[in-house]
Amino acid sequence: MMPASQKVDKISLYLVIYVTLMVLLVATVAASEFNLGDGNVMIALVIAVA
Amino acid sequence: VGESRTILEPQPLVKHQFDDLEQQQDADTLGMWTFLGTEVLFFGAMICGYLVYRRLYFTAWHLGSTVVNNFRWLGISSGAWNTAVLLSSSLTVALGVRAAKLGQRRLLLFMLAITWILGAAFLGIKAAEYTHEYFEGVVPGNIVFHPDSEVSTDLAKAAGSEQDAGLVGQFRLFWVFYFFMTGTHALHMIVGLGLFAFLFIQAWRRKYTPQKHEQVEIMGLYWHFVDLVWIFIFPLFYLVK
Repeated sequence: MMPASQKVDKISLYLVIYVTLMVLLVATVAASEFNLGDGNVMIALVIAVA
Repeated sequence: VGESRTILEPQPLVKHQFDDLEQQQDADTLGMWTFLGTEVLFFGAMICGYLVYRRLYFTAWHLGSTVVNNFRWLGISSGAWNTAVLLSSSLTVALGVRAAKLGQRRLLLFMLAITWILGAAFLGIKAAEYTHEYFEGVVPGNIVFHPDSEVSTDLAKAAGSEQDAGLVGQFRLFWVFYFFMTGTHALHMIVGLGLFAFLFIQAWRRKYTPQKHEQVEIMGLYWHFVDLVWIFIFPLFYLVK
């Protein structure tokens, strides 16, 4: 039996995660263009944690 | 004769102190996670300090972030470009680890090379940004800002409106945080480039197999962590104004 560390995922999973992260990056940069005071910190960190 | 036999024996997959390959890989991974735990404490303390001072010296931090954001390409800050570069490098690292698991040596070499190039691109962008900031005069220490510079004008306006004599000192503190946090992150990137060059040479020499490639996995963990640190540095310096 293959050990857990040897588990190989499909390439499509990696690509979906990559595209999601890039979309979140664009969302973060777009959110920073609006002046929300301390709200900008919250939005940026919430997206970073997500 | 005994010595010759010892030299000619192939290197065992499992080192003598481990029971089997899985235990050895678990130990390697645990060691890297322990190291990354200390890194979390290191960067976490700096991020907390940055946030506390941002609360105390909001005007200086606001001015600092504005200057950081002035360095743009195609209307987008260098920090955003660097984030895209690092996210892309995380993808190539993950695909490289996958290739190592499947024994796809050529793909592993390709992914390691692309990762290295993306890491170097990150440092190149950072170097251009540091150069811009150096010529703006926004570096730690008792640097006198050029009287005609945009930074000097902004500082004079802010100091005049708020009657804040300590603003220049607070503004310099912002740059101490900026250069220390981004500098230590860049140092980690330089170490990462060295490690990935080593991985590339080892892969070229056919040292990795589907059974034994833990070096690729734990260096991948390191790279992902350094990317993650940037994901927190990026909004703090480049997005929050």
